[in-house]
Amino acid sequence: MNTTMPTVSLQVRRHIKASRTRVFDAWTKPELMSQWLNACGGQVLSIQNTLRVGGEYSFRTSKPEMGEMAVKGIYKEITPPERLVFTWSYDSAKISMKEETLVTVELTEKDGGTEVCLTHERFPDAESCDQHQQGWGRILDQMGKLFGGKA
Amino acid sequence: MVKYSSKQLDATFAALADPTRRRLMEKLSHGEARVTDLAAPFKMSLPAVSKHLRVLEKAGLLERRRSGREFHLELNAAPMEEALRWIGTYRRFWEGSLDALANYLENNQPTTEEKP
Repeated sequence: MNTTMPTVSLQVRRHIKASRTRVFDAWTKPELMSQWLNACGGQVLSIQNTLRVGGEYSFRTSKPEMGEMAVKGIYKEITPPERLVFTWSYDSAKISMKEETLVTVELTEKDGGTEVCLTHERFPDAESCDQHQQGWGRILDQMGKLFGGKA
Repeated sequence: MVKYSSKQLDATFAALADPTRRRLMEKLSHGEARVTDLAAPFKMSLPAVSKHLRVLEKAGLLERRRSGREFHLELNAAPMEEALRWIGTYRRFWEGSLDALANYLENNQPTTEEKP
């Protein structure tokens, strides 16, 4: 039996007409983060961070249908202006989700702007965070098509 | 966000940790199949393939149906849907947030844009 831990992950890309430095700042400065993070229908109530490897960030948001929600995590890698890696976990009584997940943000110069590539991975347990296993995308995509394209 | 059952997700992904089992699932995603058909492309014995199928079945990913003296297997969508829902929820969250990020940065250009 194979002992490696699989992950389930998703990737989102977005091209932004701004320099990598500005994009990186928007990801790491609380006053800028609150301008866009979770902006889809919600409101950022508070946000703080200690921008160093091992440092913590946290933010609280409010959504009409959800009430308050808190997210926190630890910075794993900070490489301005190209890469940011942090853990992500919910801190909410309403959500029965205690697992820790990992977010990797990669910024690449492209067409006079910046391409943001965000990967969010879920691990079966927090200890396996350092393991990166591929191979999920294809099977999940296929299942997604099969079961109504919910992914 | 939706409620997730961490236990079910763990069971799903533990069962799918094995490459042979992932290939079996992929084959089954095209439709139901007999154990012998599923085993054919693998360089392993029928009992060995059956053992992998039992792991998938135990995790609730497969359903077995007897037809005469043969078993037919088909996928059970529910555990995968849990995983797909997790992905879908975050995809919506991040797509919305990255749209807002682009919107914010592109509409608030600094007076002297620094070199990228």
